[in-house]
Amino acid sequence: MTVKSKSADLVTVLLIAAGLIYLFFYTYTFSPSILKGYPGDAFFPRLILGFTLIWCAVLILRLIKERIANRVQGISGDSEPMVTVEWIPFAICIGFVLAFLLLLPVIGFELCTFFFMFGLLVTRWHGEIKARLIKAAALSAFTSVFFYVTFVLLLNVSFPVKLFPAFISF
Amino acid sequence: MESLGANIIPALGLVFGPMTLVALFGGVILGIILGALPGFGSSQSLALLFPITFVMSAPDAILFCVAVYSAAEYGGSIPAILIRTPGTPAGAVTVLDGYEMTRRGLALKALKVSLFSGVIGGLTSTIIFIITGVALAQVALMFGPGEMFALGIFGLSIIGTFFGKDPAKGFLATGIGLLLTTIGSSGFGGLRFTFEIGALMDGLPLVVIVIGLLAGPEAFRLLVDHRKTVEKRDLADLSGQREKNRITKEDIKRLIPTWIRNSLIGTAIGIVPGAGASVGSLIAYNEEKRWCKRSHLMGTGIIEGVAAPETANNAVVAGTLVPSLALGIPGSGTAAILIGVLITKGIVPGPMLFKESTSLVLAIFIGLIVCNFMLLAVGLGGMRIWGPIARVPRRIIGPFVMIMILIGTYAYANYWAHVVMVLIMAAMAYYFEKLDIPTVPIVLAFVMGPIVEGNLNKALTIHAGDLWGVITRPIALSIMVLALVTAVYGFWRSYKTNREDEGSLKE
Repeated sequence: MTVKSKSADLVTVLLIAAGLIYLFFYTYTFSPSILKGYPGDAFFPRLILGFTLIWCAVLILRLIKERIANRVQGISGDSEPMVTVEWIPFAICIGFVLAFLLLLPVIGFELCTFFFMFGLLVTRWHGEIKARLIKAAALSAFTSVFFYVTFVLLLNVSFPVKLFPAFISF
Repeated sequence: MESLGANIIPALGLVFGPMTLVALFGGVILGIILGALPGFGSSQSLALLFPITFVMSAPDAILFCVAVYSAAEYGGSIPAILIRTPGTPAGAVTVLDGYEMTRRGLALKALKVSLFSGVIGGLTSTIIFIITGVALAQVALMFGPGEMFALGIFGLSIIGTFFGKDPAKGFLATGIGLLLTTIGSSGFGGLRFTFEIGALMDGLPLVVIVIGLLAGPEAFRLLVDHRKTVEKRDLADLSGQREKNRITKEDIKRLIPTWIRNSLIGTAIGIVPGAGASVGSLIAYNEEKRWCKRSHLMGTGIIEGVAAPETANNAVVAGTLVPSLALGIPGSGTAAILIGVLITKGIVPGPMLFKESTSLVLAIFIGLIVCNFMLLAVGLGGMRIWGPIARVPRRIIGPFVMIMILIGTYAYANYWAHVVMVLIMAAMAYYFEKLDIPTVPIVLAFVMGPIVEGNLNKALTIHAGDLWGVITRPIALSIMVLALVTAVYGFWRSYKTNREDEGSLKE
């Protein structure tokens, strides 16, 4: 997906500003000061929210001013720099991560790591499909064992393990 | 500080303990390997290895990180010299003369010059670090909470101003970073911005911010952009031609002024928050062009062209530690991680660190020296081994980085909510970087936020809630004015650069 960078900037900053305004009003639900002279829970967040909102306003005003100036001078928006967001491969990556998180308690750390690596690696090798599958499987299996030994056995991290404890332990 | 001498023996004990030496050695090897991977910088390397420090003691953890940092800066020069692809942003300048040397069959010599220069830069800046660090901490020890708050504001003004192309976006990012620090307990029993979500009650852990914002976007870039990556398969032959690749006495004589000049430049750049190794190596190369006797040959493959940026970018390492440890102001993403490591171990960086944990400061100083000698030994021993690492296809690195992020984050507290937070942070940072909103200020502001708020609260309590009274004390006011001048200068510089860019586009 390719969008004009200035438009993306404007929409993003407007969304951030809307969020900040909401948070500013939300600070009125915080506990008041308990000590004389002590600023209270909401004081510092309000300072930051005000500070950040000022910069949002600066960016919004600047972007609007540029748009108006371009329109007055008859400069076409087509010459604007573009931003490309590769949302399909990005969504695929997010999907892989979420699948990893959801499948981990079900199939265990070892198989989850293997399938996560295999799924991502197989599309990254060049050449014949058979060679790609073998390379990806070998590297994924190695990674799975390596992370099991490092994190589960050496660093004692409690991952839900299902397969390796029967074969590798010390 | 008179206690420095008394603490040398305990500090030596800390550094030369078997586990610390293992941590240093491991840090050097991992740093070189990660630095040599094309496109992987020192901050990403440290963010990725951050979880390993959870099982280490404070001195081991900080020395491990310092070793990774130094070694990654050297590692970055390997692909720059061998395959014309800098491993770290700071290695970009090394490409100019380094790769030219490789084309002339002098790859090994270029690697040796890079290694020696890095080690000399590192050692010189370490000595400057201990002198300036102690002096700065002594001055800062006279500061009260009001002055420390003003110093924090000064640090934030530098962070907002000098990271990224546009100071307005830099300050927006700084604000977001500060806001993230306020999530969770306020420290006085109240809860802020938790929205009754259990995972937010303790706030966002630093590890989530560091991994999510520094390593996360790089992982997404590697995973998403893999089809666009052009791999460079040709690697220089590193065997044979020993005589031709030897560093002669004449070479050393020629390099001594370069080493002195650029050690000073690198350390100074490191001390200035916001500049970092890439700016250091660029300035060093430009200055070398002005001062070097063979300046007309720069860019054609001469040793001074490799030595200048490599000395400077390793000198930056110890330079960065000066404001980070003495004042608690991290000057770069890497420094934020170093400070983060200390904070997670319950040590607060700042002037009190030099007073209360003198042996730790000395251990860092001695550890930096040991680390540089280890880097020299490992670098020389493995010179022929590092070459193939530089050739690892960039497109297959992505899955490894992502799995490391997932597992490393979980390892912090065995809590999957942290992994989800990292995923959200990484996606946000990936999108922000597309829009030129810098993410390093978010990390730096996140590290500084609690220090700034803590000092402000103390100062306000002392002054019975009078904010004006806090910021108009002479030293605090001077520092605040300095912060304002820095911000104004940043905007003026950005305006000037934009005008120049527009002018050159019209031409």
